[in-house]
Parts: sequence; C-alpha cells; structure tokens
Amino acid sequence: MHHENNVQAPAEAGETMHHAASDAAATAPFLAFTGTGKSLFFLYIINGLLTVLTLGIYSFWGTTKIRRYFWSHTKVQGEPLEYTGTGGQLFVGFLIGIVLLGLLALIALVTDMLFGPPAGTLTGILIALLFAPYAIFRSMRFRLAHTRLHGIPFGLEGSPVRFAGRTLLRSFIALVTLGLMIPWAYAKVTADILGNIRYGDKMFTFTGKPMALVKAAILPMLLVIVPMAAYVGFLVMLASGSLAGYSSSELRTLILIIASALGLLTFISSLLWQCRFIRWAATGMHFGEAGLTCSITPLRLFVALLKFMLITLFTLGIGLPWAIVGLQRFFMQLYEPTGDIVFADVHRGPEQHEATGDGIAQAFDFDMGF
Amino acid sequence: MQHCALYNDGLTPETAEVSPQMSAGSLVFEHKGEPCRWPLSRIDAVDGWSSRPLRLKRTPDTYERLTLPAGSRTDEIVRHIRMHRGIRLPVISKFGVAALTAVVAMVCWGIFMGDVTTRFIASCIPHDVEKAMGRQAMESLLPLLSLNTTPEWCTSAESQAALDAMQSELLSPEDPQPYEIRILHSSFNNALAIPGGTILVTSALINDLQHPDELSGILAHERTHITQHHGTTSYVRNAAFSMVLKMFAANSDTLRMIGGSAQALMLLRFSREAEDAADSGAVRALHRAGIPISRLQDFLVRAAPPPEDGDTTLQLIDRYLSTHPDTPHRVKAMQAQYDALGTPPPRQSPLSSRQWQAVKNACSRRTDQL
Repeated sequence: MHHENNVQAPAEAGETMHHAASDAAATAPFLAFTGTGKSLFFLYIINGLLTVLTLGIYSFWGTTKIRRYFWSHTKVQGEPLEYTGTGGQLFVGFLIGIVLLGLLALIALVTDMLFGPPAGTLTGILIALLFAPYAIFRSMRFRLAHTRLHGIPFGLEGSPVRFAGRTLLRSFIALVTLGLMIPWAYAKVTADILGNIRYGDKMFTFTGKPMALVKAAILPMLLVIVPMAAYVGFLVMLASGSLAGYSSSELRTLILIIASALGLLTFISSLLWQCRFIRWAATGMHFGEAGLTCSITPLRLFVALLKFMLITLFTLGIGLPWAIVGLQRFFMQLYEPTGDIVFADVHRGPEQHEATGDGIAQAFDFDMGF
Repeated sequence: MQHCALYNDGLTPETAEVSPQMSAGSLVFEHKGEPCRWPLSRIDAVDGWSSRPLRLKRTPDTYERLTLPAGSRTDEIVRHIRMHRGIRLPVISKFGVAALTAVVAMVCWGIFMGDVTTRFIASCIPHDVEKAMGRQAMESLLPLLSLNTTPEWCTSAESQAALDAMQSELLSPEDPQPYEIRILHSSFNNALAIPGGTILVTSALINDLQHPDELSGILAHERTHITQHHGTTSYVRNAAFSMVLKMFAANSDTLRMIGGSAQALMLLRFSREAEDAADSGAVRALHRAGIPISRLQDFLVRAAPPPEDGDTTLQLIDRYLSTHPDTPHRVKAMQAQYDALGTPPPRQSPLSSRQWQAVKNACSRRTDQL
C-alpha cells in the first residue's frame, strides 16, 4: 500500500514538545515512577491467567512485560528507561539452566557412587556456591545490557568467572570469621557490581569504602548479637537448673518477653542495616563529576513498609500492585544527584551479547536483588 | 521550522528536536542538517502504540529513538504507520497460539500416551533395579506402618509354610513366579505390594480376617500389583510429572500449587485404575484355583462398608479423592468378571484349619530381622 498524502506536524503539538524538551530535564525530578496501581493490577491479572493457561510457559513473557512496564514508567530526569530484553531470551536461558541443574545432580550422583554419600552432596554444594555468583553476575549483566536511556544501553564490565571466584573467597572469609566479616564481604561484592556498570562507553565509578560499611554495620549487628547472647545465656541457665526457683508460668512469660524483645531488636537492626547500606551504596556511586545522595532513614523506611504491609493485608493481597507502586515511588524520591550529570562525552559503547544469563539465574532461583 | 518530536540518534544520549513529516510512505525529518527517512513499514513502538508520548524505533533496531507528543497528529501518524505495516497478529497472540498448541499437545500426550509410555518405561526397568527401589520404599514405609523405628516381623516356620501353600494355589503357567510374603507387626489394617516381589501383610489385617479364602483373595490382588509393575509405574509417573512441573511451574507459586494438585489427582486416578486391574487379576487367579470370590467380597465390604444413604455429593467428591474404587463398584465388577469366566475348576488343596491357625498365630513369635 502506498500513501502519498503528507501529514504535517501541528504547531501546537510542536510547541508542546519544544517546551517539554527544553524544560523537562530542568524541572523533572531526578528519579520518578509514573506507573499506577490500576494498570499494574490488570497486567498482573492477564499475566497470571496466561501463565496458568500455558502451564507456566508464558511466565517468561509475562516477566518481560512487567519489566517493560516498570522500566518505561521509571523516569530519569523526565526521560523514561527502556527494557529491550525478550521473553524468548529468558525462556532459552531457563532451559539451559535446567540442563545445568540436571548435570549438577548427575555430578553429585556419580561422586556419591564413587566416594560414598556425603561426597556427592558436598560437591553439589561447592559447585552451586561457585555457580551462584556467576549466574547472579550474568543476570545483572543481562538486565543492564537490556536497559537503555536516550536509546543508549547500559552495561556491566568484568568477568563473571572472576567475580564468582572472588565472591567465593569472600564468603569463605565471612564464614571463618563467624559472620563478623559479612558486611565487608557484602561491600566488596557490591563494589564489584556497582563499580563495573557503564552507561554507553562511560564507566560509573564506585568510591564506597568497605570499612565504612563495616563500621556502619556495628550497631545493627550489636543490636542482634548482644540480646541473642543474653537469650542463649538464659537458655543455658534454664538447662542447668539455675532458674529452678521460678515457676513454669513465670519462665514461660520470661521466655515470651525475651523472644519478643529479640524479634523487635532484630527488626530495628534490619531497618538500620538496610538504610545504612543503601546510603553507603548511593553515596559511593559517581558518574563523571556527578554523585548521588539518598535521604532514606529507618523511620521513613518503616512507615513505607508498614503502609505496604497494611495495604496488602487489608485488601487480602488484591491491593499488592498499589502497594508496589507506592513503594516504588517512595524509593524513587529518596535519590538526588550532587552536581550536574553530563552526557556530552557519552557515546554508545560496545554491545554486550548477554542473552541467557537472567534465565539461567531464574532456573537456579538466584537473585541478588539490586 | 516547527519542532514536534524528540530524536535520539543512538550514538550519544543527546536529544534533538526534530520535525517529522509523512512523505511517500516514510517519516522524514532533518537532524543536524542531514535528512533522516524512516520507512513506515519499518517502524515499531517501544512501549506499545497506545502509550503517549509515543516512543518509536526502527526495525531492525538501530538504537535511534523518536518520541512524539500526545495529540491528534501523533494519532494520525500512528494510523498511517499501522496501515503501512498491515494488520499484524500481535506477538502475544502468536505466542499464545503456539503455547496453547504446545499445552494441548502435552495434555493429549498425558491423556492418551502418558499411560502407555510410563507403563513401557516401568516394564523396561531391570528386575534388580526394581527390587532396589522396592527396598528403598520399604525402608521409608516400615517405620510409618509399624510406628516403630525397628519394625518387628512375625515369623514361624508353620505360618510361612501355610502362606507359601496358599500362594502356590494361586500360581499359574502364565504367572509362575512365587513372591516373598512377610507379616509385619502393626496395628494398621493393610496389605502392600512392594515393587520387585514382596507382599507385606500386617498382623492387624491377619487378626481381622475371618476365613483363609479372604487372605487368598488379598494375596492374589497384591500379586497382580507386583506382576503388572503398578508400584514402579506410579513411581515413574510421579517422577515424570514432577520434572515437567519443575520445568514449567518454577516461576509461579500459583502454578506450582495447581500443578501439585493435578499431580495428586492424577496419581489417585492411576491408583484407582491399578486397584481395578489388581481386582481383575485376583478374580482370574481365584477362578483358576477354584476359590470362590465371595469371601474376598465379604472382606471388602467389611473393610470399607458402602454408604447407607446412597451417593451424596460428599461421597461423590470422596470417590475422586480416594486411592481405591468404591466398594459396591468393586464387588459388582468382580462378580461380573467371575461369572464371565464360567464354572471354576474343582479346588485342589484348600488350607487346613491347622495351617490357618498357624497363620493366625504367626505373631506369637517376632523378630526385628528383615
């Protein structure tokens, strides 16, 4: 079909766009989420129905639609992000992951047959431990390589194998120090990811110091460790008969009070840790001369999570899309740039051919949750 | 020049204002003094055709993006593009048709070929492997059945000789293999066919029996389960379904739940079919040996009395959730099959009352040796 009739662009639309173009970046918030609970609700319903009708096969395309929705409603200085991944890529990656899972089971079985029962399980765990960070890295690379802003894709540099090796070593250090070095290990892993992100051909830099996160983790850790030690001491006293003078109902009440206090302190500790980690990660990020700040506080996070929980609970889960949108908006408005973000020296970087990483990670249920 | 759209050239993040116009089946505009021509047949929407502002891209993707503002002119451009592209089946519909075809094919295979395939696989499993599977199943079943971590077996030479004599009555040239018969000390009323060739009868069941022909009927029934590999087939079917479920429902909790329920219902249906087949085998064996089936029928009615108030809705539901067919159906079907076989031959060697007493007293001596 051939059309000769020309369609002229209208003056009013042109003016609107002109103003929008020049003013958008200046007036728009740094990050904003423009999705609505209603549209997300219908997206979830359709995805759910199609997933059930197709015995789950559609879930990969459903995940892609959800991601496209979230990406296109996330605006950076007024410009929406774009997700270019496809359901087919997730599906193929998942099938590869299933084959790898089968291979892993086979290796464990053969090792068991050759060296006796615990050998297979241990080999399986070791391979899975090594494979988890590898799959997570590739999953992150997939998501970044399929995210675009102004048409220019992001990317993640570095080798997933080296990342897996370093992560395994750090996990080992965290283990032998009885968990005390977990914040350090987590900081190093985070820096490995955030410091290797690029936009076009320009790398982000990450200046967050691991020891700063270790210091930030001291209070949240103490909030859990000290009452936990007290609780264990109480249980030891109980077992040794030192509390024989108390009646059983008094002891029950005491246990209830201590356990509740421990639960509350763990929750407070978790809020504190999350806020400190998010702030540490945000302030460490730089793009050229521009930095990032995050105004999250434990109280604000608590209120946002409480709202999320109440909406979900009182609507028996139907309100979940609205709660998710609310939480998304909450997180977006926390971030502010320091300094001007300059795109002038950015060019499209080399294309990253990451097609299956996310699907493989899904098959193993690995996700770092950045 | 009127500016009405934003253009990203895909080389840098820089956004330029352009004025696209329709001309000879293309969207044309000027960027940095260079003419750009986007053929309408090669234009696609980034976030869907209904989103506004409308982000457009070229196919195959050149990283370029053209963003048109909301307005009647954009709607008109969209109409032209869609006319040029022709009416295309949305990707979701294409995928939907393919996925539904795959699902229908899988369901058809499950209904028509799944049964044949799993039976075939089960019959191909070597006898030693089947025996090992049976041993493994017995190890997990025995503690549950005997409510004891060290199960006790009822043993006496007289009872064993009597049981062997009973079984030899049931053997035929087509089915000459005698199986091991063991009496387990247990308060549960049950008899089980273990894959590979062991029949387990509980002491509570022996106590409950009123006539040796009842036990002959039970042994004939359990023998058929072993001969026809019902246990192994059920295992293969369960494993195959679990694998399919893991593959396709890994991404959805809802689907896992639905799939799990479907799996349970399928196994129950198979169990009822296997019980019908075992009843048929028992009828043939009893007829061949000249043993009347009335005693077996009496036992079935005593073990699972039919409801007095006919088929209520709950009973109908229960029928679909039961591992065994309902008693009236079983009794009637057995009678019809027995009658169809004609007059039975005269019985050769019925069990003496002394032998029967030996079976009844089998549990006066017990051992924990398997």
